[in-house]
Amino acid sequence: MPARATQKSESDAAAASPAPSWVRQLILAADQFIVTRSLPQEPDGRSIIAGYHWFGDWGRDTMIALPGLTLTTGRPEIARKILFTFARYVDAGMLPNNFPDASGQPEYNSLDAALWYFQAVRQYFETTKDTEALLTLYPALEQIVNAHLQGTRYHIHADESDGLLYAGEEGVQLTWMDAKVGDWVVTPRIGKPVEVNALWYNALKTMAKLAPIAGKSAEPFQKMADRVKQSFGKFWNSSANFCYDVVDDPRLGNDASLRPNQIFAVSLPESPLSSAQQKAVVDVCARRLLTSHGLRSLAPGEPGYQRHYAGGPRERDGAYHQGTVWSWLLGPFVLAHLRIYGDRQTAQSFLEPLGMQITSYGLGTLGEVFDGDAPFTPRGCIAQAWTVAEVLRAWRATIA
Amino acid sequence: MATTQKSANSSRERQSPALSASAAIEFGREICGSLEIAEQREWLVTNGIGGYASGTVSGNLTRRYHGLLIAALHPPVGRTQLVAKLDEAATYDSANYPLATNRWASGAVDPKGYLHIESFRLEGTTPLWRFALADALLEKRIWMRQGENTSYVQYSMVRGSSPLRLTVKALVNYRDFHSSTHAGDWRMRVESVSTGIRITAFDGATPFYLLSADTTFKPTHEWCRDCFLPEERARGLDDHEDHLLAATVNVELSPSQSVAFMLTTNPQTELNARKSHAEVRK
Repeated sequence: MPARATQKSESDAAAASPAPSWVRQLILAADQFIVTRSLPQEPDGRSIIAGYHWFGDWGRDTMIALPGLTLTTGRPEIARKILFTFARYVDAGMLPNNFPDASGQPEYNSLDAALWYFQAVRQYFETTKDTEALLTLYPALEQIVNAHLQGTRYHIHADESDGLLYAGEEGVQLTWMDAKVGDWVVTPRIGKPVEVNALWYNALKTMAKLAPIAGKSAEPFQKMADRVKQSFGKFWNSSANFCYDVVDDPRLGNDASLRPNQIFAVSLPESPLSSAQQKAVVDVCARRLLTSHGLRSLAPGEPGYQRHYAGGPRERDGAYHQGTVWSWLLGPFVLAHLRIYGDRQTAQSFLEPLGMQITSYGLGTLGEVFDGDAPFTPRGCIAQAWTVAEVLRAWRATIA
Repeated sequence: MATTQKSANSSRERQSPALSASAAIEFGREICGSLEIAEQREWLVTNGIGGYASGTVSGNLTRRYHGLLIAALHPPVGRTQLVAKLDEAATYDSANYPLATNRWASGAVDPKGYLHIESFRLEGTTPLWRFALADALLEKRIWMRQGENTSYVQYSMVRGSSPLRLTVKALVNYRDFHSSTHAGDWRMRVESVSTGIRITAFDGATPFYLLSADTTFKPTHEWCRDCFLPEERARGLDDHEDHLLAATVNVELSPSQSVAFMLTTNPQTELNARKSHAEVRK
């Protein structure tokens, strides 16, 4: 297909190599999620709409999508505005989960949004070396770490006995697996969720890197990180040869069901797992969770697996994280696969089916979820920020 | 009423019956000619402050979230459906062609304008339809102005041997984008203003406008009831709603002429569609 003339940001990102037309189309789609959010102190603030049609700007989704939508596409100045905007919203060491359409008052019921913030700042800094921005943001980062050490909302705290993050209480959903129907929290994940602790380790290691740039000591962060890494062994289920999804749930103990959340313990730049464990995680996710369009949220055959995301709100929410395929998880999967196997062509082959997917459902963009069973029919939002972002970011890694 | 010569001249040079380089998203009648397939392909246009326009390739609305102007009244949220759709029909060489498609709660599909879509493509992120009416080609484009709640809908006659008459019915609403309207005896205020009409849904509502530099609107007030939304039924939610027919337009287009409509909360928006379109293509 002949290359079309450059449009908007296409030139910045795609200049380095002849990206296929679907990648160039997604670079245009990336722009659609970036919106203005004006604050008295940040009149030119920016945020990210999590999904069209029905989502607003969510803290978690914004931080996960930020690198792919702004850094991969060559617009670090937008990344900077988003990071500054959200720094204004840090409260008790947490980032807002979302801003409801009606009242505009943020809700602070996300455990991981603040932890993803470290990874967004880290990628911004690695791309730009913008020390001035880092110095401005550093107090917010420090505040987040301290709040987690002291404890914040919903019993979120670093457990004194092992340094791992514990969170949760009856009736609330704090992780990205956040479906709730009336009083029914579908995946409560109370205790120490695996991706939250992978993110915690990554955040502490990130602080150990950034602290000296801010004129602070890396040592306390490095010590905490070492302890978390040591304790992370609790997540290893040696009989299954992959990670528990949650440990130390006060009622259920350790949750051995196979979910994709452990992939972040391999995909994030700092991994608390041994290389043999990392490989085992990638392999089990490939064999049992990988589909043409993303990773399943629960492996087929596990109790409660739902093959279709369909029906009324109760049926759909009951399936949302119980087998339904999430495309954004292909990003971390591809990055984890690259880390273990270093095979760019194979890594790229996992992304190519989504390149075909842009010609149906949401045209020229990528949606939110797909059925857990073949043929993995598209469902949910027609355009989802973190899907577009993570696919672009992973694609870039396969050609870098 | 005729299109003003001024706008006809100004839009003459950039129209061509030959499409330029191939697009990543491009369908012919194999997709457009099947309602069941075409209505499952959705386009999306955004305005950078949380508002958007979205619909299907076939033109019928399948979700409550579809519409030509879903305005962000409290950016980037407060999304509110103001303009649902424009229902068009054309008369060319003594034959009538519906261009719009609607599904009704009764199960009926009427009219079936999708049958006249020759092609659909995305130019960047701008949807572009081509309707084939005998030897005439009529293009339709939809885009938004960045930073404000303004949608543009432009019709251009890019080929043909005689003038074409276009009638457009504007269906409006005023509701949270998560909800649906059952109008009862709701009366909105629909008034003529200098370049179009102003609609005030109720006292205290944000007024919005249907504007055009090329033609005039005839205000009206007629509820269009029980429009069917198949995706809402599939999601187990209220699956039909009402829209207000607030204005009609009747305009003649000669080959290489265009007419554009602005659907907006900003009465001072850019009325020059060419200029606005150039902005979004930058």
